[in-house]
Amino acid sequence: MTFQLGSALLDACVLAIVDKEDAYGYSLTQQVQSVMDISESTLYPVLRRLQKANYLTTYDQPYQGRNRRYYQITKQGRIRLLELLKEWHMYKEKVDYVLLGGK
Amino acid sequence: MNRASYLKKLRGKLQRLPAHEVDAALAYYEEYFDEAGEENEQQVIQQLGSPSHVASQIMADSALKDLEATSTSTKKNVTAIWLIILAILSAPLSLPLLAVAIALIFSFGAVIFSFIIAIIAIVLSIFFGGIVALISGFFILTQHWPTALLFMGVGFIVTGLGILLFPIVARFIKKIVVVCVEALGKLFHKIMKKRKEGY
Repeated sequence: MTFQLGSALLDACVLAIVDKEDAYGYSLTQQVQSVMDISESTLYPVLRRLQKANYLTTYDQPYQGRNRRYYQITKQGRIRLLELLKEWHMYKEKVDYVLLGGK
Repeated sequence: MNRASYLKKLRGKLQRLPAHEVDAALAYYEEYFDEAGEENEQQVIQQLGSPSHVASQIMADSALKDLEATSTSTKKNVTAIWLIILAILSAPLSLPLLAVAIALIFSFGAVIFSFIIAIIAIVLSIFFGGIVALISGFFILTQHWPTALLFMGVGFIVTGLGILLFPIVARFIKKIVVVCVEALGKLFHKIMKKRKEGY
């Protein structure tokens, strides 16, 4: 992708995905990769950071004889997601305004 | 390289982190391999990049995170600096870029270090200058007491000033260290970005 991806946008994407449905690391990586060009190893630090900030919690669920660690959004995580969405809309509108020549 | 040796190498690269952080990271990547399936082992290894690459991302992030959580402890900050430096050094970089990174870090460090030493030296010299004035005041007390009083007074003022400066300077130095860590973190991300763009 030509456009650079900042950590705020990455946070927003992860929170938005987990807000719809709990997800485990591998599926999260696949989902984020379907919209953004990130390397496979980028997501773990992001998840850890969001977890430490209490935006995400985890729980383990057995799957085929081993554990899958699911990530779940917290109340603070939802609040953070709303903030990020608001900022994204503002940013998007400004960029659109310049790129598309105003409405 | 197979999965076991890959994870072992990753663990080795992460050993500077707290044990629970290392375990959490390893558990994540174990699961990642599991999910991808045995038949895709080599593909996953290729996609993840070298263990050093994975480790440097984790360490840089953990260093910055620690800093945000507890920016009051200087000891933690210094550890954070080391973690970021290690992250930069262990990132698989091209040789010239690595040389630039090392040179930058060292010159940066040297400047900051000498700056801090200079400030400490100034405060200490004010402090000891005051004490010397105070003591010399005592010595000439019998010869000319007004001069002695002047010396002692000045001594007290200057020493007090020095003592007052201690906490201010300490806080200032702490601030400098925090700024350094943040700057190093930014440098790291810049280098990683450059690398991704294909240098």
